[in-house]
Amino acid sequence: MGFGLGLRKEHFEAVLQARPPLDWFEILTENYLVDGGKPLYYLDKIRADYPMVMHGVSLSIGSTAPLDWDYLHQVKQLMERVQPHWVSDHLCWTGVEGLNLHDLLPLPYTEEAIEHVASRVQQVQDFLGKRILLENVSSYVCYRHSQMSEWEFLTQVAERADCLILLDINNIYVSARNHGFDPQVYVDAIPCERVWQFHLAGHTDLGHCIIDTHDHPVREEVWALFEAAAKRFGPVSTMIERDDQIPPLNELLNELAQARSIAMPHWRLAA
Amino acid sequence: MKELDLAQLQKKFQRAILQPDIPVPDFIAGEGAMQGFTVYRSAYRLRLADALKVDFPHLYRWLGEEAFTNMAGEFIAACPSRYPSIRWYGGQLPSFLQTRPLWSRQPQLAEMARFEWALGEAFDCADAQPLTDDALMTLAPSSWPKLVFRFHPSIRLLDLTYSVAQVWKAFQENTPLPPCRPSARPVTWLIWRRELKTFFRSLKEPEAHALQSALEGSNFAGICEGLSHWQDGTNAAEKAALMLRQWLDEGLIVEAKTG
Repeated sequence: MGFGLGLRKEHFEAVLQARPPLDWFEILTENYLVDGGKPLYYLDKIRADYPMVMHGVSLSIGSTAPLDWDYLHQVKQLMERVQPHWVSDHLCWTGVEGLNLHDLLPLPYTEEAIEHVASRVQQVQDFLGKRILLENVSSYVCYRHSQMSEWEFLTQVAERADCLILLDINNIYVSARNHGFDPQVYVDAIPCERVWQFHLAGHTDLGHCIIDTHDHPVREEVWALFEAAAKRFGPVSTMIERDDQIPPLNELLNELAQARSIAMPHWRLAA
Repeated sequence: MKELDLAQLQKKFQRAILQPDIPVPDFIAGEGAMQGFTVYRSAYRLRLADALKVDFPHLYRWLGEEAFTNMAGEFIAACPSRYPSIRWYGGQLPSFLQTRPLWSRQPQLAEMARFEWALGEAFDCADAQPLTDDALMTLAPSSWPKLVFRFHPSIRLLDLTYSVAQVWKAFQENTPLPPCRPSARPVTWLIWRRELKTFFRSLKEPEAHALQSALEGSNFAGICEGLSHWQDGTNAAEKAALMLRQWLDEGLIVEAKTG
């Protein structure tokens, strides 16, 4: 789809007025699971001008709690309204026993978890009528009984569930630093044909640990990893996520131009 | 170590997030286990507190950073989220403030929370096209007594004892805060949205009564009858017609039909 941005309410008016030159927007699904008012008004207006994809945070695909069918019905309704090119969520769990911790919690990388997630992805895909993309999350802990690396886990889930991958380049970098692995090894291990979208974002470096805060510009190290990913995966829909300290739209457009200038030479070559 | 199934692992992980004073689960590996787990514990509380700041922006300014953070911490500990969307997390805050000993001693806080939550509900509830007054005026006069009305879904009526709406407005407009005193009797406030803009105003007792009964499905004759508690018969009908005109002008009514 080219180069896009996460749509944020701070930019609604600017997008409508300036119709900035970008290829698509990603919306946060949960922000539009409301009945009316401003969110849906701007959504419809902006959708009329731009292709969109939907990105959720509450699917909790890795949870051992039952799938939330009420939520999935709402997602499906929103899909009918938005007609997104695709729908994504995270390879994580967000809560059990009826609770939502509103965080993207890591799974242990075990055979049991692969089986569990893959069967749920299949149920979700059957219900939504299309393949979903699962995103790799940043993580800050490891489980003692993990049996494989994160990239093996992600690949296994995607292949067994026959789903697609939203590869978050910043999250790979964050987890690599936090857990001491080589991010390039991760990138090189992911099956190319399953990666349909890239996320780029900024993080906060606390020295002993780095945190996926989405409140800074994309950092140099992440641009470098993005270039490696652009080379390996070829043309993939790429976007920048900013969720906090949201700057004027132009700043994000400049950052997106940087993504374009890094990726395009490789993608032109590939073409 | 003994293999733990995924369901048990998630229950233990969640419990250790919700109760920060219990030890980090022993299935978390490595020297940095404590540090890494603390990231999740802190992020959980920060994210929910931030959501409350967004939904209750002037309660937040009124209390200030420290008191709001303490209050939010107590609320988060008492009321974990059961919602797929964090949008709805703050819904129980008004009743929490009303019933918890420390906070219920300052009832204006619960009232401010109720007021802000109702504004938020009006903001993104369902859309509806208001009825024009022409549409009503074309109806035969004989049909008026039996008219019943359907109202915009954004309408909320709140009985508030404290002048929290004025305090809210002062915060919103960056003007000096008025004193927030209780009135002798609660005042009814009407909140609604017209197109994309949210409005509020106070109602005198007869109008509050009339609107409440219209919302509950009373027809025009019933509304007039209710008003006769304050006015004599003819004046009550006149008064009801005037109110109806104002409700139409404000975009409160979306349908009128003979019931």
